[in-house]
Amino acid sequence: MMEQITTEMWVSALLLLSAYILIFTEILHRTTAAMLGALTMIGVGMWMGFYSQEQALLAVDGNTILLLAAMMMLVALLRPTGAFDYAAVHITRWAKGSPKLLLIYLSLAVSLISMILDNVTTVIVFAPLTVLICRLLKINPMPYLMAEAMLSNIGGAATLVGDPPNLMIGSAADISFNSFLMHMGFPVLVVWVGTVALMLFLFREQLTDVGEDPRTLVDTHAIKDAKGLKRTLFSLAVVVLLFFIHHNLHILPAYASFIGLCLALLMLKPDMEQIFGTVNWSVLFFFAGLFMIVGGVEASGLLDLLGNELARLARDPQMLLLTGLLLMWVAAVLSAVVDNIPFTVTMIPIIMGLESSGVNIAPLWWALALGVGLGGNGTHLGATANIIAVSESEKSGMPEARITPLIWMKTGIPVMFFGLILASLVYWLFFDLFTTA
Amino acid sequence: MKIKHISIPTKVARPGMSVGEVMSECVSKGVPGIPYVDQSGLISGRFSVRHMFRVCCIPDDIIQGAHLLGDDIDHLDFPHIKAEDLMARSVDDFIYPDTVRLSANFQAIKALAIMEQHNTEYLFVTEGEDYQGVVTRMSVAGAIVTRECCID
Repeated sequence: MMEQITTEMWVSALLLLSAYILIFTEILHRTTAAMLGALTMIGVGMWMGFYSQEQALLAVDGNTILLLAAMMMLVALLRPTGAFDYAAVHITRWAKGSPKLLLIYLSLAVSLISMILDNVTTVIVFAPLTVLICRLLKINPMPYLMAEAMLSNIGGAATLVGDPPNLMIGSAADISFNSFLMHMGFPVLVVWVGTVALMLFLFREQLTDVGEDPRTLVDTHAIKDAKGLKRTLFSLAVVVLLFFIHHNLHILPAYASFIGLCLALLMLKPDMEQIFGTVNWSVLFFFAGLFMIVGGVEASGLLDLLGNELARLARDPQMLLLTGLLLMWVAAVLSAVVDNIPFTVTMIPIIMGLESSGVNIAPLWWALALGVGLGGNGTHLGATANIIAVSESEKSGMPEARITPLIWMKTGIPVMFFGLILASLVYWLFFDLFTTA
Repeated sequence: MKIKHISIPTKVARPGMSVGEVMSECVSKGVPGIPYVDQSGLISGRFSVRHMFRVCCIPDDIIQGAHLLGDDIDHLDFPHIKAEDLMARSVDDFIYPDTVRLSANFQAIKALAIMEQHNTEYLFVTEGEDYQGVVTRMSVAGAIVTRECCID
């Protein structure tokens, strides 16, 4: 194998590694590091003749970038209407002051919302409301903040649009929204139920009834813009409906999301400067930079070479299950300590390359999606939603609510491994289900 | 109208003073904040009543969900003991490092514009390194009401 590695491959691998070191060590902001990496890869690739500007532009997955931008704008239109506040008020009422029920209901709400909307935004909105609810009920918000972050990560893993890695996988492998939900829905449901049960057990001391009349939030002023809420929800419903049938209509999920966005913009006529200002351009440029970096490595031929080696293992149908499980666990462990996006972006062309070697790559897509989706719960740095929960616990000013990295890991590591064990069991027992895309 | 005519002279906060002492000065002079002068005698920050309330009493979650709170939130209010405890604390814990200072010869219109620029209700007036007082939006309004604005 060694004699097949060319200088171009070595150089592209070195550039990829350098960019990832800059990203993971946070010496530079991750977007700056990704853009710098992309520029260097293109420049060096052009000079050495293995990569061009046109190839770099084609390497960027426009479906992923545009869908994320459209969904960010839809969330920005929904947020000021008070929809999330209204949901939080009613969740508190349904819980009737029971800390355990409150944890289940809040987790369920955050998970369901995260299946369609960005889970980071969901946690940003719900975390302060959760602290406020806990303040009223005189209970510690720490278990709730952790549960919301972890279960939003798990909920997001169920759908094509719930998590950026899923979107990247779905876009690269041409997996429909329905297919994603059908394959990932069941394992995610099993993991979700298991995780909630585990959290109720791990936090059993904090989740005891306080024995006072529960105080609740009032919904009188929760809805700030009823007309805007109805119109945004209608647009979102159109988007979700189109997600379910986008494959039949031969449209990309990004196109579906832009239909809903344009509907909302026509009906609401918002300040466009303000709406475009809500798009997290830094995240989108980070993704674009990563696509360009990995595109360079792919153009050098290195990923094909790695894929050929992996194909030897995965070509044997007996070994395919094992390869999938190995991929799931490696993806999860790496995602617990570093950003899961660079890993996903790198793995996608490697897995795609296996197809030409006659390997059924469908099980590997699902294994990758499960691994990166569940791994983020291990540490507080594993997912952006976790960092928001930690930050909110600090801002609450309640010493008992503070989530330190150690406190996170005491719950996060058991949750991650328990989730992985459950997902692996489902993957193993229903492996036939995962052999199609 | 020059701001030296409408600034409100106040004492300054110094290291080790209690919140109670400093708050009393703000309340008696009707100003939202006063300068904090460090050990070396220089203005290095400010005591702001708004900032103090933000730090000690109203966390972000309460601000964000204020419209969702009912009337039965006695336990979140100011119990007497909490106020006693707060007044006895050192002012050093509540100093905001940012200060905006204006020369005493500046016009009131410039002071108002700078207040807008910095989203603040007040500015400190200095003559060289010497602190003269606080100019607030209300002190400008007061000068207009009493026609003091016409004095050159």
